[in-house]
Amino acid sequence: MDACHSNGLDKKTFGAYALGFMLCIFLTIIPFYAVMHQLAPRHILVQWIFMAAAIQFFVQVFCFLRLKSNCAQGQMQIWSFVFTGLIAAVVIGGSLWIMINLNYNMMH
Amino acid sequence: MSTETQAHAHHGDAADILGFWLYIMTDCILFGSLFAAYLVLHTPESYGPALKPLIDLGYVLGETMFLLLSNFAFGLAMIASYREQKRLVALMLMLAAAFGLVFLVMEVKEFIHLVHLGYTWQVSGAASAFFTLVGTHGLHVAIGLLWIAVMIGQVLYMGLNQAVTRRLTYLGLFWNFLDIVWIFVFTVVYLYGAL
Repeated sequence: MDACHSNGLDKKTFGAYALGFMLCIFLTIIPFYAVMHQLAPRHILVQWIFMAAAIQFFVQVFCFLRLKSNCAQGQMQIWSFVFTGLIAAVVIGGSLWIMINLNYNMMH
Repeated sequence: MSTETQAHAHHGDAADILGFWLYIMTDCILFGSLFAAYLVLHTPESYGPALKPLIDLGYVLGETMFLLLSNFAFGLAMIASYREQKRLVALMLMLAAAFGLVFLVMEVKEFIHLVHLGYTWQVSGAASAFFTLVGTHGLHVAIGLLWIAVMIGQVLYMGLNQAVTRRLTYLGLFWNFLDIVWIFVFTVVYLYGAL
């Protein structure tokens, strides 16, 4: 608990920030370039863009948000974050699942 | 300030930041629901005009870069606040606000352009979902810009005291959260939409 006397966030450092910024620029330009120039077939491009988004998400969380995992406060933030991710996955995945099934059963 | 009240203030800080963090988490669920509605209404056989031919990826890439730059400038403001460099903090906040404003103006111009092309809010469920999702993000950015303007004033007139630093931390979380949501907006709406 003493590791986070003020809050559950690590201090931002210029090194981590600059690295995160560079990575984000690359992870933004690569998928845009790939889609604009149709570098691969559609199903491969879909995988690329969602992979780039997932990587950029983690880069921003680790380099910019800087949640602290070694103290109780930070752990509460991290677990509430994970829980929110679970709820969002249920809402989005569940909606799509229901609608795809509905569509299938209407057509067949 | 006695050590006891100081300890209390620190404890209060931690609890406050957790509270603000939980607000951001509820906002994540709001955006999750809007993404769900958008995806459900954007099936290939959905009714109404297609968004695909109207997407200008180069323009969206520009918007994305401005939002990223704004987020980076805000990070530099936070780093300057640890070093108690008041003027540098204010300058970086102004830079963050300027980049954020460019992003917002570009987004509003894009909306006006789409409406001129006949892709309006009322034309189909898919169009409503598009404007609601992207517009809600834009509204958050507008509120964030207002908040940055208030914080520039507080940094300059109140200095970097504990309360101001704490508010900067909240705003930093909020501003970063908006950039994270934007990653999914440009991937799901624009890149996936253009494929």
